[in-house]
Parts: sequence; structure tokens; C-alpha cells
Amino acid sequence: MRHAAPEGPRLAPFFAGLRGDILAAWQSPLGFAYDRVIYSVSYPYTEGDVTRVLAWCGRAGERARLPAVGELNRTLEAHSYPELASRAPPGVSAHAWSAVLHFCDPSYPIYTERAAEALSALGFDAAARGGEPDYGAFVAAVDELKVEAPAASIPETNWYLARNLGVGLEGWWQAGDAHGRPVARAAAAYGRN
Amino acid sequence: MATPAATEPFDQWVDHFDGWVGRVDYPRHLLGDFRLEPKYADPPAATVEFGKYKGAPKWRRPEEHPDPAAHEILLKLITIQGDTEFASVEQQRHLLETAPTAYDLKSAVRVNVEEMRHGWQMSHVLISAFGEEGQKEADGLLQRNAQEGERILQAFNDPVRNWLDFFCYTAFLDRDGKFQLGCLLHSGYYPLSASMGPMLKEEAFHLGTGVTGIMRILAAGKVPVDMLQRRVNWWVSTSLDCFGGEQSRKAKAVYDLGLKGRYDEGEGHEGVEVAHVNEYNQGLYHEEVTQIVDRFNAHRPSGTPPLFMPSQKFRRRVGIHKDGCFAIDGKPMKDTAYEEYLEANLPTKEDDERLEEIFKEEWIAPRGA
Repeated sequence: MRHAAPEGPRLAPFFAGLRGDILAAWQSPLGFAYDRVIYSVSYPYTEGDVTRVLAWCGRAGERARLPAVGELNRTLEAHSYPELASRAPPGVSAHAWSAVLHFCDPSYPIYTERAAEALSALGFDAAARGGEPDYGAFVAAVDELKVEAPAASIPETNWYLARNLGVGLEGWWQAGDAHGRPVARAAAAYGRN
Repeated sequence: MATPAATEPFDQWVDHFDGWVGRVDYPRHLLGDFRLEPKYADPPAATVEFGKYKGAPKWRRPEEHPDPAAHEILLKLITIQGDTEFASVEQQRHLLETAPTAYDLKSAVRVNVEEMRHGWQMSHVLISAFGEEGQKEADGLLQRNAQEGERILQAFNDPVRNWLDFFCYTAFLDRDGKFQLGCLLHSGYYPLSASMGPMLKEEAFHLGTGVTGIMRILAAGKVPVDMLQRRVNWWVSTSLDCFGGEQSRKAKAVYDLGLKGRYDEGEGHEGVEVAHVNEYNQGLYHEEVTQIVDRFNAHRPSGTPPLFMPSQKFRRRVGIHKDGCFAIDGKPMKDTAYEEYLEANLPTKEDDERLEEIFKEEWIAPRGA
């Protein structure tokens, strides 16, 4: 289900810092670690690729819950973006599933709690449901940001827009935290509930 | 801004586009689920930002422009922009079989498919507002062929021989593209101005792919720096030509009519002689590329020689320095020695042969390696 984007002015504080947040993440050790993965995986995935992706997102223990690599590749190839967002195999976390999808098709954003909380604070309906992350809503919200982001807020990087927005959301969440005000409250200062 | 409704002529053009994909032999399975569609976004200003009509509402239709000459100029501006988009795919298509990594292949396809979308965008503007003339020009975008030397600007007929060229092309020539889009972002013609935001957002990835690629090449240390320097000399001088003549009555007329502005229009830089608007934009480009080359040098492996920026006078095929004999540092040279000098400072057949061997090694590092 897609949700209407919050009005432009409510996104303005996020977009104002987006360029700097992306560049900071891109040049950070975590940014380089991400690139070591994207430049090493192959399509279709090998077993080693899946292991590497899961290790990168700290979910190596979920390998057994994913299908065998052949079946996984058939699933990845048989669907178009964003159909697989809501089709995680049972027991596979949004973190692991989104990473598996992203490193094959970088149009899929990588799920993190911080990014999800930032989206919620921005007014998107991307919060966890019944304690479970809603990756489908997360993807829909990031898709809205892809459209709304001003060109000037996107710096030159070798990263797809979904990755840029993902690290931007994390940066925005952290900035709120770093200033001693949770991002939800920082957002409220700009007139949101 | 809502996308104008599809029209029958545009649907017909889409059929022609499908034929172009076949002619270019672009692997359709690589296009995946990318949505080719026109995208419009509100421009930075609703009123004309410069020129004789500054302050008037931007023109939604070509015929709204008070000067009849604007129609022909707009048609030409949009056609040239669209021509470069499809040309770049024709120039790069053959590289898909030799991508150094799977992600580089994915990146090149992304660059290509977004350039196709930019071509769609310009065709949509042509067809939705310029009637039969627009349809004819939009069809022309699909009929000319870079491989046959038929594209409007020479840079888009030049060969892109290998992946070293691809990264230089996306870092330097696509950057000229960014500057052209940035100038058109401020156009008084609303559909053109409204087209640029989404195109610029996509262009950032193309430029990032190029700059990152060159940094990865330097990090691997397999491609000799002098060989890379010769590529930089070629692509920077080629890109400078794309700004047009430094002193141009045509550019002045286009500016006066409010159709194409300065790259940094609206940032308060007054006092630019309008007849020198191309020179001004070219200067901004040169400044930006100089900073990028400085970044390359800051990241190059120790013990390797620095890269340097060629002068704006070097090997120009357009403008006040056209066919002049200037060294890379801008100093004048005797024309008797110049041909030999160019051979030594531009890519050679020997470079290409040597690169074929280098490409069999680990010639490009993953970023962050």
C-alpha cells in the first residue's frame, strides 16, 4: 500500500541536510565497507555472495531461513521492483531481506530501524506493525522521497538514489539524537505531530 | 508539475524508440523494470529569471513568447539536448560486454537507460508543444547515428573506445551535460525548465560513477598515469567545446530572450557580459573540473606523478582558440611542431593496445579497497 507523501515543507528540514549526510556517509569507513560488497557481488548471486551480504548487515544467522541460492536467484529474477518488498521468506528479517534485495537490485532501500524511525518522524506511515517492520511501507515511503528530493540535495556518488536516501535518513535521525532531541521531536518542531 | 497527458504522436514516437533500441542492439533484458517516462518538477522560479523579459510569467507554450524568433531557437535547443542523450548510448553500448565488475555493468546500464529517459523527456517536450516540426525533430533524434558521425555535436560522434574512456566520459563530458541542464533549468520556457530537475538528479549518479571510477583506477595503480592524462586531455578539451564559442552573438540572443541562462543564474553574480555567457559557463566548468583533478591527486598512490588540467586553450575545435597551437599549459607553440605535440599528448593506438593487456589484470579496485 502506498501512502501520500507529507507536504513539501515538512520534508524541507530533511532535504536541507541530505547532501551533507550523504557525503559524510559515502566517505566514511562504513561507506567504504558497503562499496567493498557492491563491487564484489555477482548476479546471479553465488553462495559466497549471499553469505557476504548477510555478514555485512549483521544477519549471517539468517542464511538457513533463505532458500537455496538457485531458488533465491530464480525468485530475484522473476519479479520486478518493488514486488519483492513484501515477500520476505518466513522468519527472514526486513534487515536481511532488504540487503539481499538491495545488493542485487540497488533500487531497493536497505531497512534499518533508524531509517524507519526517521521516515515515521517525517510523517510517512512506515512504522513497525505489531512489532514487525513493514518493509513494503518502508519501500513506498523511500520511493516518495526519490520523487520529492530536490536535485541539489543529491551529490555525485556511485550510489543509487535508494542508498543515498537510506544513509540520509540515518544521518537525519542521528543529527536529531546528537542535538539531544530525538528526531521525532525535532520534526515536531517543524509542525508535525 | 503534472506530466502532460500522453498523445497519439508521442505514442507513435515510442514505437519508433522501440525500433531504435533494436537498431542499437541494446540488450532488452538489461533494461529490466526501469520506467521510461517523462518527468516534470516545479522549476526554481515561476517567472522568467533573466534577459529582456525578466519577471514575466514563464511561457507554457512556445507561441506565448513575445518574440517569434524564440520558437525556432527553442526547437533547436531542445533538439540538440535530446540528440546528445541518444548519442551517448550509441557511443557506449559496445562496452557492456567488457564491464570490469557486475556493479560496473549495472552502473553503465543505469547511466544508459537514464540517458534514454532524458531523450524521451526532450522528445516529449518537442512533440507536446511543437506540432509536426517537433515530431520531425523527435524522430530525427532516433534516426541520426553516432557510429556514422551523424550526431549534431562532434563530441557525440567521437569514439568511446574502452572503459577508461567511459569513466572519463561520465566524469568530464557528462559534467558538461550537467552544466547545460543547469543552464536550461533557468529557462523561461516552462516545460524545458520543469524537465531539468529530475534529469539533474539522475545525472549525479553518472558523474559519481565517472569520478569514482577514475579514483578506483588510480587506486589499483595498473593504468599508467601518463596514459590517463592523455585521456583527460582529450575529454576535457572535447567537453569545453560543447559550451560553444566563448564570444557568441547567438548565445547573447538566446540569453536576451530568456531561454537559456547562466549555470549559476539567480545566485547574485551580476556584471557578466551577455555576449560572453558561454565563456562564463565554461569558466565555471573548468573551475569545477580543476577541483576534481585536485581530488584525484590527493588520492593517488604515493610515488605516482600528479594529473593536471589542460588549459582552456588546448586542442580546441570550437571558439576563439579553435585550431590554435597551444600547449597543455596554454603556452603558444609553433605550428610546425604542434601535430607531433598533439600525438604525444592525446590517446594513441599504442595506448589502446596496451590497455587491452592491462584490462586482463586487476586494473580497477573496488572503491574502499
